[in-house]
Amino acid sequence: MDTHGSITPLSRAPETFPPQREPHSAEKTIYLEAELTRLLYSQSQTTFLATLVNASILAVVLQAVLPATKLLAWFIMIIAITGARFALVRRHQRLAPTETQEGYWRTLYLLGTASNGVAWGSLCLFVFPSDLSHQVFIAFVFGGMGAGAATVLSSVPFAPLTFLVPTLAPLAIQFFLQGGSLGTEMGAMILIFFGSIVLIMRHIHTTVVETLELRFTQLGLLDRLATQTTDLEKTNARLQIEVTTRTQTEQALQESLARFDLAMQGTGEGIWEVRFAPDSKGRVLQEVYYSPLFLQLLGYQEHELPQTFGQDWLTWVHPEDLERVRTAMINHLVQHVPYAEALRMRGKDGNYRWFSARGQAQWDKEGRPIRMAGSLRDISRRKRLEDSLQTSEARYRELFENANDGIATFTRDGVLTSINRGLEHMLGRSREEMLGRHHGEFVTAASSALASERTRRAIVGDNLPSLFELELLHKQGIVVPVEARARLMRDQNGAVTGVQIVARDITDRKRAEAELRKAHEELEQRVQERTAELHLANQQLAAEVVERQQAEETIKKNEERFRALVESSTDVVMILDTDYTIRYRSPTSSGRGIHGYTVDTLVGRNALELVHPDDRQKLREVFFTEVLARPGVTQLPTFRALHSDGSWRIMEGTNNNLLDHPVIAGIVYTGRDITQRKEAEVALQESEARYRTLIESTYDLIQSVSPDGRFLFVNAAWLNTLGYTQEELSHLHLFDVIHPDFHDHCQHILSTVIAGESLRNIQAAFVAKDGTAVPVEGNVTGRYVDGKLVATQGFFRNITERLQVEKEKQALQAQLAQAQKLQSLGTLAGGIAHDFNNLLTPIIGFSELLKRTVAPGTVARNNLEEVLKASHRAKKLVQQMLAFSRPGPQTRVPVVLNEVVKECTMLLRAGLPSMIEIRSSLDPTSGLVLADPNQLHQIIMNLGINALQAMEGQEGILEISVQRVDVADAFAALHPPLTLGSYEKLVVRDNGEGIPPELQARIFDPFFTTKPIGKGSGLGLSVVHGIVTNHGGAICVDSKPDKGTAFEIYLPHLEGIVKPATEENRTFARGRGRILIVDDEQAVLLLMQQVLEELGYEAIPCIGSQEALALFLQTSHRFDALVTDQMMPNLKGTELAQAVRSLHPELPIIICSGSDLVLPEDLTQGRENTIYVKKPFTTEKLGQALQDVFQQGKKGQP
Amino acid sequence: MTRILVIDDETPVRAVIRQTLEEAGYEVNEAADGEEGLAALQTTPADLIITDIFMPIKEGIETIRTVRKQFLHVKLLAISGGGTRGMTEVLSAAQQFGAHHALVKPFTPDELLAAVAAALAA
Repeated sequence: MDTHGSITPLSRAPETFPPQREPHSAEKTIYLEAELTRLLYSQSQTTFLATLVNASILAVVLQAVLPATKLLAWFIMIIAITGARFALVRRHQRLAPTETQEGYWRTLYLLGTASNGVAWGSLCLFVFPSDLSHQVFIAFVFGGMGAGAATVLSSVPFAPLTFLVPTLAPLAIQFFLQGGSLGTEMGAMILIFFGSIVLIMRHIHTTVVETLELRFTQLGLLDRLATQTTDLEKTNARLQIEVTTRTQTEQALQESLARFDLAMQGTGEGIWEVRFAPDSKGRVLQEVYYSPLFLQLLGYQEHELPQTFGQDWLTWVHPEDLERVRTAMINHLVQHVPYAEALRMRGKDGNYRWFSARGQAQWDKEGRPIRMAGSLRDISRRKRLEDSLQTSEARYRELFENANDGIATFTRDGVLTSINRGLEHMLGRSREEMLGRHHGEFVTAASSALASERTRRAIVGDNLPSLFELELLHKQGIVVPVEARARLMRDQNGAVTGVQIVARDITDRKRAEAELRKAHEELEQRVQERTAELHLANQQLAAEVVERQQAEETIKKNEERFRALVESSTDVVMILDTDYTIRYRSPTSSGRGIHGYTVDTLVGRNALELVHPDDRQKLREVFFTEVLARPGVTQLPTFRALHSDGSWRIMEGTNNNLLDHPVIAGIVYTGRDITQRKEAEVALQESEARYRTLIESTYDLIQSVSPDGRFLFVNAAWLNTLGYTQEELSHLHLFDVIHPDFHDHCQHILSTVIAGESLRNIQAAFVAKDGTAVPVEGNVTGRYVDGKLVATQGFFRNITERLQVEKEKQALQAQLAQAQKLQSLGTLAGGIAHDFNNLLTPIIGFSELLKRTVAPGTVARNNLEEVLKASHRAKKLVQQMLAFSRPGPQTRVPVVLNEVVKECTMLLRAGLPSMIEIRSSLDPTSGLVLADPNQLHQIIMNLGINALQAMEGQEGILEISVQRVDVADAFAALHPPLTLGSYEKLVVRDNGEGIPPELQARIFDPFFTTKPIGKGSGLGLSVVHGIVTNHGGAICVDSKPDKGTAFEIYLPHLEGIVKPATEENRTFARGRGRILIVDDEQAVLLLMQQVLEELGYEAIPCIGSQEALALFLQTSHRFDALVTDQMMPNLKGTELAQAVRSLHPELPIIICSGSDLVLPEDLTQGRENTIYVKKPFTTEKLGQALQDVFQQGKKGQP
Repeated sequence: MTRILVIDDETPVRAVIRQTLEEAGYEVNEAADGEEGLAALQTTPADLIITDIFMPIKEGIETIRTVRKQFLHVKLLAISGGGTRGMTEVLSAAQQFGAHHALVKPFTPDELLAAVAAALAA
């Protein structure tokens, strides 16, 4: 960096400094002038004050002697002028004008002063008082004003005069005009005064100027001092800036270097540098530098570079390039020829690659190279590209040269630039003869002009035919006709550089054309001759034509007739060839046929094209197998034909094979558009399907029956309901399926329908195949043709379910009525019972009292006894009645219904004839009811006994079941007092004779009985009803004659697990021991076993008495007691007991019997350990009996 | 001597009770309904009152309540032939309102005497 260059701004610095203040310079003058003016302005305030004060005094003094208006006008003028001057001064102050502007401001100021002077002077001119004293006063005031002005305005030379002259001159003139000695003297005095003031004024001015000059000089010195200080500061600042700049420059340089490095890397060029330093022997390589990229280009890392490389890098150069590179290098170093070579160098992998090398050396003054630096760029890719381009170029050149066509290029001006061998051959000239010359020399004049014209037009962008003909001139003068093709050649910018033309020799073609033309001309000649001949023949024919015309007329008429026929037909008629080509198509009046085509567009086309692709095959088949096979008409299958509007029309038609017909000789196709008909058919089918679906999916029975009773149609619901199949239907007659009860009705319906009326809401019944009657309700209508009935159509609804529901409803209503009746009866019974009890009280009471007074054995006593007996029966009856209305003492406790049922079953079973079986089915989920266990007992026993009686004398099954059920609303509504909820359902069912329907409504009525007198009170079921109702339950009966009866009792289910009261309250006589139980009925055995095990015993069941005896005979078995049934085949209970007793005399024995039994003496004698227990018995009773026999047995033991 | 007032609207019932009690040595007074019975009690004190429950004027339960309030020392035996409300329930209700014992109609003389004894002992 050039140090001087960097501080050049310093050398320019003085130019910007302010000029030094030199005495007598122009600056000084300006300065002085300006300062003087500023003095003027600065002192003006005093002047204004003096003016206003003096003017006021003067006005006051003169008002006595001068007219007031004039004086006032003068005074106002003075004030106005003073005001204006004041404004000027204020403005000057505000604007602070520069020195050069002060001159202008001075003028303004002096104008103000002059105006003021004129104003003052005007007083003397216009209103000068006549009285001397006032005149003197004026003179005095004016003098004062003048002196003041001289003092204040003297800074500017002659400035006071602007005031003094206009002020004092009128005064002096007045005095001189007055004349007289005093006037003249006064005038003279004024002049003297004026003169002296001028002198003072000059003196003051000089003083002021000198003062200002001194100040000016001082200011100059100060200026210079300040300037030099500023200079130094600025120099400092510049030096600092320079230091910063240099630092920045260095950084920039470094960045630039880095950038250069990056750039070099970016360019992909490797850098190298060599410094040459001479030594005693000549030049040696002092120092070599290779950039990292340089090494990378050769495939090396920096440290990998072979040592030898730096010393003699030329060994790395490809041998073929070595000499050239070496020469180039030397040429550069010695002769300064630029060094830029492409060379191959060997890389680390041993392969040579192409590089572009450039270099530049530096030489010393003597011209010796001191260093050389250069770059290396990998140009392998470019080389490859060049190679391929060269190959390509060579290929094209080859083509160019060997083309048969003549090819040439020429400039825009027509100068030939290249020519191929083909063209050389065509023109018989070598290219050397032609290159550089105008193409016009080698073509005919016309062709040359054409070529030039085309070139011109092509350049301006005219569209020209690509092919044109030219005539070349062969060296031997022969004209060679060619067909040419020209193309403009353009440079990269699109500018036209020349024209390429390809010419093909068409000599042979031209010759052929000429021959053709000649032949044509000969033909023409012959035609003319022939025409003449024909003309003659024509005339002969014309005559013939006239004759023919008449015949034609006839034919034409016929033809028209047929045409009219065909045209008016909606059918289409075509004549087809055997390959489907339409040879003829019938015209129509509209000009277009049913396919919408005109005749012209169809004739000649293949008829199959108009046929839908899917239908072609079937038509083709018919065509080949039938139509072509024999003459005559063949019906075609329907097919779809394309209408000109794009729609498909369904066609039906015939093909008539008239191939043998002399005139037609084809297939005549007659077709008819049946699209509408087909569409109607489809619509009909859809509609039919729709109705069929409706009919088949309905649940109603639909039938169509002929008047003679045959079924024409029935729907699926009909078949399903009546159980017939479609096949069976054909053998059925209407009356086969009509219930016999309705045959007459049906006959009546039929006659009504025949008469033409429909019937609605008919009720009838069908009979299904299985004999079930199917009640129906529906309508019947007739279908008539020509007023005659052809079918009756019936639409029926199966109302079986509806009738069932109605029936059930009726039954339920009856049940409800029954329940209500019983309720009222209960109320009645309650009332009756009360009265009865009141009646019975004295009867019994008095009878008892009377009895005491009558001796026993007398008739009276016996009579009384009878009265009492009857009274007590009456008392019992009343108690039962009350149980029906309001059952008596109740102790409602949670009861396990299943347990009560078990007990009752056991009791019932005890007195059971062997023909009757008892089955109980107890729902294990069944739980508790809140009830009086005794009353529950009573219910089950009452119903059970009734059931047994109903099955008396026959085989039967008594079923008792308990089930937990949920009662629904609807059911509850019909069975008061049930409500929605959980209930225990107790069912007692027999398969006895059943209750006749007419009696069912009365069975719960008190005193109603069907039993023989003495066998039933008629209160059993009433009591059951009362108990159930009183427990918040309900009872229903379901009975069918000969099938049996079932009583269903619903008792409210009690939630919770409460230990049944029966368990708590009853203390069974429990015990221990092994007990053999014997019975001939398995069920009884099981029950007994359960009961005994409940009582704490171990029970061993044994079916049959002989088996039991066998057990006792086996000594190994030991039992603590025997419990046996009495009535058993072979060996009765007592007999078994006797046998056992002989083996085990001390064994306690219990014999059970349903009938009264007297034990044989040998069993009871001396022993009380054998007892008889009457059936039925309870667990309690059996337990007690066992306890008794065990105790007796112990007592009896020694 | 123990005095017993019998209240019942049925004359034969009153008669058989009177005879039974008198034979057993009790002094018996009668009334046909509750109102009459209470009136009689004002003039003729009683140790025990036997009262029916269902009566036309001032029925038994009310009579029992009144007696229990006004005559604290008098024992009460309720008797009833039952009716639509149920005999047992009626009598247990009577006991709840202060009857010392209850007896179901019809009854034998022995049953009556046993009930009377039980009521007096209560």
